[in-house]
Amino acid sequence: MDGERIRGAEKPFSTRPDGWNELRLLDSITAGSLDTRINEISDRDWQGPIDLDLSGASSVDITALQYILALLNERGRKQLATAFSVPKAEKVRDCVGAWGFPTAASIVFKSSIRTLLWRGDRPFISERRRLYGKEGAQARRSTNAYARLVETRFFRFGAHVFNTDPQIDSIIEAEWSRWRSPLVMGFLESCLQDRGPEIARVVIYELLVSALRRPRADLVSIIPFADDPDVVRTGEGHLSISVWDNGKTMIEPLRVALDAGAANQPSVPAGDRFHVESSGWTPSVKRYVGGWKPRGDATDEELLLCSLFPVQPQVGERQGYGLRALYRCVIDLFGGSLEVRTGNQLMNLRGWSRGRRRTSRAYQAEICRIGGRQFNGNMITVRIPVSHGT
Amino acid sequence: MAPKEWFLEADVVRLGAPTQEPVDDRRRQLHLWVARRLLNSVRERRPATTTKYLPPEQIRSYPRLLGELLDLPNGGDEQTVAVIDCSLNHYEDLGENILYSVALCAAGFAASPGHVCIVLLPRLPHSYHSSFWEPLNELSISGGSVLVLNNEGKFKVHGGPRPKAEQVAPGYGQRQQELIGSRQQEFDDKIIRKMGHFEINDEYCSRYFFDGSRTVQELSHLLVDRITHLVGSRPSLARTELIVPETVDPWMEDAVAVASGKLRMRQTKWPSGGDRAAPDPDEHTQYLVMLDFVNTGSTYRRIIKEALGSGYNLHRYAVAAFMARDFQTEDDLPELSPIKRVRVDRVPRRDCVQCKIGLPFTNKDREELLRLRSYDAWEVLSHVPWIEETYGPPEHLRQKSNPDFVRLFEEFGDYLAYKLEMVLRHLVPGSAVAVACPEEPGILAVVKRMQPWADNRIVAVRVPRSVLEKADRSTSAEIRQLAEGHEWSRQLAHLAERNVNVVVVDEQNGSNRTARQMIKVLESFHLRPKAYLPVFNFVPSETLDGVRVVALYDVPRPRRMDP
Repeated sequence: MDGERIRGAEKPFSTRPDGWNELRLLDSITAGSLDTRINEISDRDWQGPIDLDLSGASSVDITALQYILALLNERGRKQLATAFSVPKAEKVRDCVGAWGFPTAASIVFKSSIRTLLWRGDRPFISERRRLYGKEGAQARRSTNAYARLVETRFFRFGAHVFNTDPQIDSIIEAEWSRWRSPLVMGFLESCLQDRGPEIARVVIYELLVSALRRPRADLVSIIPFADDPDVVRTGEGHLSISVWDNGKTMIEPLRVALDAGAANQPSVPAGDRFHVESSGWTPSVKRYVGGWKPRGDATDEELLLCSLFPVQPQVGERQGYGLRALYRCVIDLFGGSLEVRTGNQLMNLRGWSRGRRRTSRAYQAEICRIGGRQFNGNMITVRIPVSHGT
Repeated sequence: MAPKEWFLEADVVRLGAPTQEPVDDRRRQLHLWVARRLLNSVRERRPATTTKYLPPEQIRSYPRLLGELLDLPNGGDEQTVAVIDCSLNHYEDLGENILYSVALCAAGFAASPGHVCIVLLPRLPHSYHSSFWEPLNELSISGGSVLVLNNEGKFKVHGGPRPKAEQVAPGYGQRQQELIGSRQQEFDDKIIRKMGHFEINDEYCSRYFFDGSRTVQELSHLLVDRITHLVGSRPSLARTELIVPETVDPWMEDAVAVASGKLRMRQTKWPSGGDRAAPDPDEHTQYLVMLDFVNTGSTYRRIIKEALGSGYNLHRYAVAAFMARDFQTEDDLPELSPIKRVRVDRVPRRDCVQCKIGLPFTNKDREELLRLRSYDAWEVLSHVPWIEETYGPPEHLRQKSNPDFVRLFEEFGDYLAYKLEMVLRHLVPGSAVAVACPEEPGILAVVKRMQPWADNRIVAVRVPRSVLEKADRSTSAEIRQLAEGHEWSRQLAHLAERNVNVVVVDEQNGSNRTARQMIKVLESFHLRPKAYLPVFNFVPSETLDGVRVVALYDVPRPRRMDP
């Protein structure tokens, strides 16, 4: 029977009589919980048809959905039969719909949304269409810039395919105009004061350009999310922006260059200091300070850290900028954090403080080695504290 | 002994433009003014005559090119002051790599004693996180100096002998503002008076609809200024809330959201009717009614009546983005303070000619037709006198009776530019585009209206009539020779080198003659126009010499004589 599932009481994974494997993603879904769940599946099962079942989700965040996009893209590329089931809880279902996740999923999987949705969930499309039609017909009621941004569906996935320079130009153009609209600028100014323009100028630009220039990438997905000022009681909330690309991991080009003995490796910029907390690997030094360069025996985790830094070009070469402008803006100016998920690594970068005092240009990098399947591509997420001044 | 003379070298940097453009004389004067306020006895050696541009693909892949573009002198005995003017760009477009590159150029130049570099930016980058300041912080006090100025006249000085920046700052902000234009001017320039058959309510129709969708930023600033002016002190502002009808146009809704965010002012959406009641008023709050358009005033009167009936304490003023010029506020209602008064040509339904001939209403939110409606085209053509052509082809070929295009574009230029831009975007979606046109006043006025909508990234290449006239009888090599040393030829060469899409535009096509000449000139630079777009085409066709033709309106001449 279409849409019928066989559910084990606690089992997260089961096989239906028609041969489809059902991967249940329950409760609060995050990128971390997905890591755990994905690695519970055997390689053999992974090659079979899989339904990513979100029906039991009680909450889901944007990085988890980016993670699912990465999975869908990987499986689509390998032509592995895949479907997903939408959440049943109304609030989560609304978020997934309003963020345009189904459309982004169909772009990354390169198939129609109708084929990608689990059979029983297909009415979801017409249900959404009805809802947005009704909202459009209804009188507008938003009373602040945030509500207006929600209403105009600013907080949604932008998934773009690119193969040529003109396509890259038009993605940059589209995202720039999205982030430079007076409404967005007004919202950012209201919660970040005079630092608001730095979001479009530095954060979006650096995130986007680094993803678009990644070797072998032909897909990028970007999603912003901000806490509702009316819900955040203390007046403090977060603006998160997550960008995923399906290119080579950020580590690979550095490893290739290092193995080839290239002289111009990125090095820690003078004046910057990185205090590393490791998990699953051992750092070669206690602190990574200005001038430090990786040697041939550097770990993947050290290379991930190095991918943040600029490369000084040799004669005739172009300069590589790394992500220095991004981490300085996110951490030093906004007091936020930056998370990178790639390959078998997860890095969380934030300001380093001694006691209560933030030390200038000192950063704390928590870098974990995650066993099991490699993450497809690179996901960078920035989280910036915002004050709605209520 | 007379003080030693300083030599001025200036560059205007444009980001994202597809090719270079001439620099306005007034901007050159500004550079000279800044240099002279700062230093004694300054003489122009290399003024900025054309912009230095970085196209989008170079911005993201090779921003250090800026150093090669600017080519500032290093060393030398002469006292030199260099201006790097980036102030025409949006601050958001100046990525960190670009700013760093600007700073490297400035610091490299100012490393020599006797060199002063003035960097003009729209805003000062953040002093702590931006890498812009790093090369400047490293300047030695034994070298030259760098002055960084923003558009408001705020400044920072780095390096050796400090120039007298305090003497520049106050007047500079005002001069920049004069060049950029006031907010009200920017607002006026970006409004589009759309033509059509608009339904105001059950009783009235209108010929025009005023579209503020491209001027949300300016409108929000003007609303903030107006509200602050009308409400007054900070405590009064804190006690004020806005009442906005829930069915205003989306651009007004955005502008109000931005303005109320800036003022930290709450807004109440007023129900558009039916059985939904307005929320209860707060007794300590004063309410200011704000509308997008007051035409007949029916919505305004209804809201005031309902609000007073519900016990709202209304402010003695109300604000409207647009107000019909003939609308008079009645004595017992709050006085309306419009951002702009406009002529709407409102007609009672029973007298509406468009209703009588059965023309459907025009959708004000979505332009359904790419080209002009016949009704609008003929109104435009019949609104101005028809005169003997005063410019264009040689005298013996000029029309004895032709629409006065200069007046026509003065009156309807915004809408015609809007339609032309729509066709342009339809034909060349999403990519860099340049327009080429004869160097003549009518079409240049239309192109000038289009440019601010695209952040001035639509570059106009103006081909002089004298060259067009010679193009008929010249080979490509001869045309290129004629063009040598002229700005438009450098523009075309750059566009060809970068394979940018070029579209030919003109006010009218009377005989295909100018169109063929334009195509020939472009092709002599190995540029194949993407399309030819005349506003009015008196020789309708789908293609001309293989180039697609799309006119805003075709008017076949009954007895046409080809030259």
